Amino acid sequence: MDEQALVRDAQHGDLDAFNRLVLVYQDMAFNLAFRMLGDNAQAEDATQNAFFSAYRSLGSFRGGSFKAWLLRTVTNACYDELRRRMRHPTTPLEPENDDEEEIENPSWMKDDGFSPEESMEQVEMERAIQHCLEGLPEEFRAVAILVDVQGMDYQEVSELIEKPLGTIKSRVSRARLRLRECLQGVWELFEDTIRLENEESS
Amino acid sequence: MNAQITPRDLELLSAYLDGQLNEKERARVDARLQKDEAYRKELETLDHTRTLLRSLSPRRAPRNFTLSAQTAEQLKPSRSLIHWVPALRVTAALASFLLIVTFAGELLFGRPVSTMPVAMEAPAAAESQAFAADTSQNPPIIQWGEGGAASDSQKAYGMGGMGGGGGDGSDLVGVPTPAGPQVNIQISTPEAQPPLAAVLPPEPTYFPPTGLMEPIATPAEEPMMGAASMEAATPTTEPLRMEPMPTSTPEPTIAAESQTLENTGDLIVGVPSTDQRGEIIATPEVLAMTEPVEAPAPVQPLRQLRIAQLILTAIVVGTGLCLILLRRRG
Repeated sequence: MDEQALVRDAQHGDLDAFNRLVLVYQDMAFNLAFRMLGDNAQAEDATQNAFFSAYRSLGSFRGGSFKAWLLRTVTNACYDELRRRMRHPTTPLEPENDDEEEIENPSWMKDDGFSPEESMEQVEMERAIQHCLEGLPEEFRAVAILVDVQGMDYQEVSELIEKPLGTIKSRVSRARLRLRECLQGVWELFEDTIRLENEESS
Repeated sequence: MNAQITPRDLELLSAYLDGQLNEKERARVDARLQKDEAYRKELETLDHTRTLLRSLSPRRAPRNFTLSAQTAEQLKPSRSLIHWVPALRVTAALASFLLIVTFAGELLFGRPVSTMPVAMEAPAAAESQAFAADTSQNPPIIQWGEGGAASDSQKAYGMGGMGGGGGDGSDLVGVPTPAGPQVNIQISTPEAQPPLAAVLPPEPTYFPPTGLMEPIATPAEEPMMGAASMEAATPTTEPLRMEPMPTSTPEPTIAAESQTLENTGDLIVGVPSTDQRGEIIATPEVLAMTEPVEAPAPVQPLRQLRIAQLILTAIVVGTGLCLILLRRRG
């Protein structure tokens, strides 16, 4: 069954049709949320809220790209989560060592969701990139993730965040310039890895 | 020679990497890349950044986010609220339009300068006019205490004067003008008590018209209200002394012992005799001047307009809040 038919059925109250759409897009939605928020638990919450919200407001979908419409819901859920985080900043728990001193950055609490087979170098690089992404303003971050991480084209992103194409071009460019500045050191560290990836992709 | 690289050039380079330029723009960027080393370097570093971002491994959802029938049922009631959105939008737009129309109409067709009710304005205006007219011709004179041996230098005249000289008698005596209103207030303390520092006037009341009052002196007979007349009226009265009040002494009793009234027809306030103490009198002329002017009824259309504007504002705010809430939930 094609996507438009699933959307139509879901709009008429077919829960199975909606759940099939969820299964199609849940990885993409979670990936976007994770890159926006940099935290597994928060990304999970944001994704769940986004699907709840999508189900509630399915009636307001008036055609076009369902993917763009759904990812806009995810982006909005991430913005809500970021604002909530700003209103209620949390202090991470830091366990104490034998001398009753707090251990900073305890490695056992860190859960970035990396699989064991991922190399240490790859893990470090991803952390560095994620750190730089989180340093971007929200609107630049969303555009950079959608274009460079999710691989969407400008037109789709323009539809998704409801901004003109020129704004998307400008935001992508500015986001990349800021990221380039932030990633200067990372580039030198992982030059070999990147060169290998470039060769593989070409 | 390398030209300066502007943000616009970098934007073109970024879009060039993504294949988002039209033919003309692409040709221009290609041409510049051929001859501009710095521009080529910019492209290279931007490409590296892009490659790094694309190297991020995609995250898979840790679980399925499909909805159970129970969850879907819980979410359903909110779906019906979505149907109210168009109606709320129309209501908000209509109310906003009407609100703008009412304000624009008020601005275009004018409105009262003051929002003070006319019924309140009229007596106030009449009073101020009467006072101005009266004081311009015959300034009121306030006579404090008994004259005694006071000289002219010890007299305190009206127009708000609370001052006056000390002198031996320490009396402040006003000199009535023949035609003008005269205020003659005398306040005294018992002999054993310390001198007064302040005088509080009694509760003001309007006196009945002329004829009910007993004139004590006229300007023709006695241009200056001196101690003789005052003492005749109130033999036990001691004049007000303007000496500094000792702080350690008990607070003096304040009493209006006597008032002498000059009834010349223009008198508005005087000092009545002992049996009239505590009262302020006024002549019919002044009463007539201070009578509330017949004011027209409050402007009803203006009030209705204000009520309508308030209701419209409440509708706009209410519908706007509802729409924001629905948008946040949806």
